[in-house]
Amino acid sequence: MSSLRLPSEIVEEILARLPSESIHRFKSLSKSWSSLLLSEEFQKLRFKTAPPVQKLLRRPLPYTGLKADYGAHLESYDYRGDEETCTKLIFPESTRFLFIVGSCNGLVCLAQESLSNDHRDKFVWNPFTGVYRKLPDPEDMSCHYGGMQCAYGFGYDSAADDYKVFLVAVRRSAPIPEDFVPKVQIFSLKTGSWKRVENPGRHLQDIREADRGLFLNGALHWGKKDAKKITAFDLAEEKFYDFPAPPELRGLGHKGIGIVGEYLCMSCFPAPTVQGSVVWVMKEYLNAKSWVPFIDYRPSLGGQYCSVRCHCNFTADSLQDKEDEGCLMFYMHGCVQILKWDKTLGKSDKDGVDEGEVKVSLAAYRRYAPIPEDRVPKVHIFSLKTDSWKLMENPSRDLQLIQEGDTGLYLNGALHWESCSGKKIVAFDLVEQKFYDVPAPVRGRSSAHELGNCR
Amino acid sequence: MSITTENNEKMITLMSSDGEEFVVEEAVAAQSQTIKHLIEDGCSTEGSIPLPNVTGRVLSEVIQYCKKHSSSDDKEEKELEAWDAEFVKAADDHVALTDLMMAANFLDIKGLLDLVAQTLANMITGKSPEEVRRMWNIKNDFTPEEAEKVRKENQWAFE
Repeated sequence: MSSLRLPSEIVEEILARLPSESIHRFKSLSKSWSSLLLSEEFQKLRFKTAPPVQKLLRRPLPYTGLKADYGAHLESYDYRGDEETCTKLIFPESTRFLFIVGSCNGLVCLAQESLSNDHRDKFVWNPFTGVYRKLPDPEDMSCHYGGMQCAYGFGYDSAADDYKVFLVAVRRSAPIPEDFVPKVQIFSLKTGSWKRVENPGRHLQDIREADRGLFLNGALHWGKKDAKKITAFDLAEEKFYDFPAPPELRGLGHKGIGIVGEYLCMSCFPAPTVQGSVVWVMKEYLNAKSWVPFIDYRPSLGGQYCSVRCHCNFTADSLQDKEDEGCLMFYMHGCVQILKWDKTLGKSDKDGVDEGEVKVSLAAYRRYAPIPEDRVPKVHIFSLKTDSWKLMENPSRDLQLIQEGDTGLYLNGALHWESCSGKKIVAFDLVEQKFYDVPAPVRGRSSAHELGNCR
Repeated sequence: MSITTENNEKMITLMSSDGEEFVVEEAVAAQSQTIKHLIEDGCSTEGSIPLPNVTGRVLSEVIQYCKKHSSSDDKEEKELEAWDAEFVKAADDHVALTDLMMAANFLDIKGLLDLVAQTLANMITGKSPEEVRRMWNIKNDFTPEEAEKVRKENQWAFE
C-alpha cells in the first residue's frame, strides 16, 4: 500500500468540490480539516471551483395569504446544460422573514426581522461552507426611528480585499423635504465595525426601502424613478457618482436595474400607457453612449409584464471564464424565466429570436420554468378559535406559481386565486378545507388576466 | 537527449522515481506545466527528465491521460468524457486515485487534477467522518467534548 499521507493542498482540492452538507459533516473529522474548512482561503477556492452559471435568487415560497413558510427561503439554481437543478439553501438562523441584501463572490448578505428590536438583524453568510456572521448593530440607530427605515447594499471592495454592507436611512413617507440628506453608514467585514460616510450628498434622497443596491464593478447602483440617471456608490472610495440612463427611456416608467452577465441593464415600460418592458444594456461601463436596446416585450393584451430581476451575481467570476455564455433571469407570467444568450451582444441582432411575445436580440435563446413539477406548496391555516396553525394535507399544485403578495380573494366562503395558465381559478373552501377549480372564461385563456370581485 | 520521429515530432524521455524511463512526444508531456517549464529551462537536452515524486506505475497512467488529451481539440467532447470516466474507474480505489492526484498536483496538469479531485469528492460525499478517517488514516484529534460542540454547531448538516 502506498503512503496515504495527504498534503493539505490535495485535501483542499478534494473538499472544495463537495456539496455543502458534506462539508459541514467533515468539520468534525479532525482539527486540521476543521480549520481548513473554516479558512477564508478555502472559501475562496470553493467558490472558484463551483459550477459555472450557478445563480442564487430569492424566490419566496408560496405566500397564500394564510401563512408562508419562511424557514427555507433561498434556492440556488444551476442552469448548466439542458436541465436545471435546484438546491435548497438553508440559512441556519432563518426563523423569520428573510431577505437578500445582496450577494457577491459566493457570499450572501441577509437581513432578518428582529424579534427584540424594531430593526433588522444582518448576516453575511457563505452558503457553500455554511459559515455565517451576525453583524453588530450600527452605533447610530437614528435611522430606525422617527419615520425612518433602512435600505441596504452589499458588495466587495477589491482594493482593500474587504466586503462592505451599505446602509442608508430612508424616509418612510412622502413628501421628502428638499434639504433631506440621507445618513449613510458602511460596515466593513475586515474591521468588524460601522462607520459614517461624511457628506453623502443628496444622491439617494428618494430611495425607497425596497431599493437594494445592485453590486457591479466595485460599486452599488440604484436606478432613479424618473429613469434619467443611475446613482452609484464606489465601495473603495466610499463616494457617490451619477451617470446618465439611456435618453430613450426618459420619462418612461422606471422598473428597475439589473445585471446581464457583466453588463448593467435598465428596464422601463415601453411607453407611458403601454404594458410590457423594454430593457437596455450598457455595453461599456460608464460610457453613456454604449447603451443598446436588449429586450422589447409588449404583450398585445396588457396584463402581466416582464421585468428584469436584479439577480444576484453569485458567480460573476465563473461567468467571466465562460466567454460565450451567460444567462438572464426575468420575471414573466408569474414565474422566473431564464434566457441563455451569446455574449456577443449587438452582433446577434440578425439572429434575433421572436418567440411568443418576447422579442430578444439574442443568438441563443432558451426558456425555463425553474419550479420542479413535483413541488407542492406548503399551506398552513390559522384558526382564531383554536388559536393554532394547522398544516394542510394535499394542497393544490396549482398554487405553485403564486407570487408573494397574491392575497386570496374571499368570496362565498372560499379564497380564490388565478392559476398561472389563466385557464382556471383555484379556490380553497374554508369550511371543507379543500381546494377546487373554477373554469375561467374561455376568452381570457392564456392572455392577461386579473381576478377581481365585481361588486 | 532529444530524438525526432519520422513525423518530425520531438520526443523527450521522462524518468520515474523508481528508474523507469518513458519516451513521449514533447507535446504530450508539455501538458504538465511542470515538465513544460523544465523543457523551457533546457533540462531535457541533457538526457532524461527525472521526476522524483512519481512512480513508474503512476507515471504510465499520467502519460496515458496526456496522450488522450493532447489531440483533444478535434475530438468529440462526449467521447473524451466517456474516456475520462473509464480512466478513473480503472484506477480502481481511493489509494490509486490519491497517488494519481498527488502526481497531477506535482506535475501541474489541471485537467487531470480536476478529474481525480472530483472523483474522490464524489467518493466521499455521502460518507461519515469515521469512514473518511479510515480511508486516509486520519486521526480524530478532537476530545469528546470538542466533538460534541462541533456536532451541535453543525447539527442541521447531519439531519
